[in-house]
Amino acid sequence: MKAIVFDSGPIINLAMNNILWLIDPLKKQFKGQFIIGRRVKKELIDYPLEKTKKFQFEALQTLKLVEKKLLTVFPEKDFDLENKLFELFNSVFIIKGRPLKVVHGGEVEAVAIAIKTGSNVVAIDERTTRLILEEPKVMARIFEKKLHSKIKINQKALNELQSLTKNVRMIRSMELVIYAYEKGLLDRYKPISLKNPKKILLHALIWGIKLHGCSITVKDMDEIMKIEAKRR
Amino acid sequence: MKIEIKRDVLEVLEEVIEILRVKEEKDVFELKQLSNYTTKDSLVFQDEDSISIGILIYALYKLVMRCYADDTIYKNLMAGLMNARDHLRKDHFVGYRKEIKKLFKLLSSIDKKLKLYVQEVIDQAKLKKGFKLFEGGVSASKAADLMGVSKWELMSYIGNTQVFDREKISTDIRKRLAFTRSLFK
Repeated sequence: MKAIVFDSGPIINLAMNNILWLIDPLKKQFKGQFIIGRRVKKELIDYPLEKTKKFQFEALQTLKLVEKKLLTVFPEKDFDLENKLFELFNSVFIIKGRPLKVVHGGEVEAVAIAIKTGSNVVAIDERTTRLILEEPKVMARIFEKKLHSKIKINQKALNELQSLTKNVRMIRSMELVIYAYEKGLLDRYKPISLKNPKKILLHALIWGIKLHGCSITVKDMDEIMKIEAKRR
Repeated sequence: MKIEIKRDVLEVLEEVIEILRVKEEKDVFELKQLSNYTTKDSLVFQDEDSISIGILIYALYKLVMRCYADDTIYKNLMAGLMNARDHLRKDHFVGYRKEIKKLFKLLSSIDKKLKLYVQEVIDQAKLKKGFKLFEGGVSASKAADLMGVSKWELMSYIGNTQVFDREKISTDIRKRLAFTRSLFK
């Protein structure tokens, strides 16, 4: 199935930047499904609507995407893979003989759906999930620095996890928005009264995305500015 | 409550009692240090007791820093903290948790005018602690869940810090963009 499975982070990021509407044109260009899992729906919609006064309006905007079937809620029936992944993700790092529980059901669910549907693409802003799969030693270094304790990597669990997720690729809200920018989907925001409107728009966009939690460094953002300057 | 958690919580209680025994300027600094220490336990154990004591100490630090705690409040806080410690020493976990809840209530009742502010401090403490867990390596969703805050809120908090730049984790942005473009072909 051609699909991108979304964790909550990228949806939150788009909503907080008032560009959640991008999901519609992006989906049209993608010509496939945009999927969220039930746990992610809970984080995005149910929690703000039921438990807090904050972010209810953003939750309603997200709900509208579900109602319009721009986001499909995955009808989960089999939790075996999800449970297995959850166990593995949370047993890779060991501190003083105790496994560190580092990821949430939502991210794991997104990875599991990506594998089950064969889409193998997850949109996720979380650095933890990404680093565990792509650079576990860097993740271990972060734990060691914070906890001032030696972290052991459970190689068996890591190997099994990497084997199960070997085809999974991750993108962030940053890449999605840059793609939308390149395709002119955000041209309506170009400040035509200013010099270098495209450059200003890009700068504003990438900072907006970073400031709402996308895991990216300023160095990488500078790189994006250079890449896009060459494309113009 | 596990033995190691009990030992650490007791240590924190002894420390905070010592700090608040006499009202001094250095209390703020010492409470901040203690608050940072509690983050480690929240991250490792991820249990209700480590988390609640962490939030309590952070809220205390903020209130003391802003001079909202007078001598009477110090006295009442000390009494509550000592009760909590005594319950814990005797393994009276229910009693201990009741005392911690009472301490949160006490903070909220410091002043009716300040009630909203104190609640804000407690909410901020949860966010701050959530961020600290995230900074320590836990995912944002997991940190939000543990602290009982919304991921919407935590993401914005995280975004306004320099956590990713401090970690200096670079990604091959060219490759990632190329991959994203390829998805839409």
